[in-house]
Amino acid sequence: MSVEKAIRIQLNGESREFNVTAGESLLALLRRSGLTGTKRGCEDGACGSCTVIMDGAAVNACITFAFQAHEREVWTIESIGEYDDPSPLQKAMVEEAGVQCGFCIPGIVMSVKALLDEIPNPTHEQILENLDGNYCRCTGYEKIEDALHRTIAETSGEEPQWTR
Amino acid sequence: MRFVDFLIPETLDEARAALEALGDRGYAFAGGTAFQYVSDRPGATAVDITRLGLRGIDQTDGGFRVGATTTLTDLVRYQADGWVLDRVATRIPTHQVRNVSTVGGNISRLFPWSDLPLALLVLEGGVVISDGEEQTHAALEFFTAQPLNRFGHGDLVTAVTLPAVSPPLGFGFKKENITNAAFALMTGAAAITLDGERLAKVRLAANGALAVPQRLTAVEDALEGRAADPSLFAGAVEDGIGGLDWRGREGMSDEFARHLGGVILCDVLEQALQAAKGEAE
Repeated sequence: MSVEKAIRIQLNGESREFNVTAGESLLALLRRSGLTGTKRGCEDGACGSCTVIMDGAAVNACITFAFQAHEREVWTIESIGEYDDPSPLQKAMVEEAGVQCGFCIPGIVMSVKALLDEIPNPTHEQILENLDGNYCRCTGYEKIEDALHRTIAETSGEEPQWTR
Repeated sequence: MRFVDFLIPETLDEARAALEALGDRGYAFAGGTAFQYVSDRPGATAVDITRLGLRGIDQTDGGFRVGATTTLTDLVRYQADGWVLDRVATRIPTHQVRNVSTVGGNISRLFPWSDLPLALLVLEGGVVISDGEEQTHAALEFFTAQPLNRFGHGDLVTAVTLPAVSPPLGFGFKKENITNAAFALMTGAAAITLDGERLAKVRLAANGALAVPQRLTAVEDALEGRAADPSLFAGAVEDGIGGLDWRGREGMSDEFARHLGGVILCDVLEQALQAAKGEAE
């Protein structure tokens, strides 16, 4: 019999309290809370579809237990932009055709956001390192990289360190 | 592993007391990424140890002390003369996993794909365990059996220690996997200490196609005291690894695993020799 306990998470900028069991994943908690932009993919920590940002770092919500987020700051894809007011990265993903089926994109956007928050103009190697945990099985990464290149140019105010 | 309860202590003493009281049901829990490969146990309770002040890397006299809940990303980003664990940690996929996985978790339960134990074995590092007072155990002793089986209730890894690496000590590390995000098919690590033109000390270890990380003492013994000549490596490795139980995984035959092991071990020995000579890689 699992024990249910209260935890508190700073979720998308708002302090929220949840009752969770020890076995509940952060992914399950987010989705039952209505934040379904975080996708359930492999549930094995491999595909990256469930990527969220916890205390500034990209993590797989599927293999993070909800209790690990207690008194931590969690940001999900819902905090990044609105349908009518997308973030520069979301807008570039659409306009550079970086989105095909779209399932992996919330995870990719969160991985890239964590990177760009820390390094506004990363090297190509740093970008590849930060996409090593995000699978895309239809777009093929080229268009996604185009979108990242454009985003970096727009948001950093500098010429990206790599060329497309 | 499915847990039925969790505790979030705020001090090392609280954590140790909780683990001692829980006995076999208590599991020290940090990043948690390895627990998906651990069988369920009735009544398992996670004791979150990430808020105990065990995260961080300190320079010590001649080396480093790395706190148990230091993340693999911390290892990648840390910069100091003689620091080599960045080369190991950066090959542990993925960036999301590196952001939460910890040093203590990576070494406390051995898998065929465990990487940090290899580095600690060849660098003759130490593992610091607290049972109320800290004691440092040699990595060679710590990794001779599944480490968790050696812990008493309430014992906790608090840090690992390792030397700074600079000539005449050199370090080599190489890992082969099918994709960058896959588990290792084969991993090798070597440390060489030179005495002039001779190999004063050789430490070599492999994992991936072996059940657990192992020091390859037959190869070490064959090379120590000999000339610092990389042409000697292939013969010593060929003669020294034949008796090991190489196991191919992911479509790799046992025979090919042994072959790949030989290639990678020669590569890491050459890397270590080059570094020991102070030559740029």
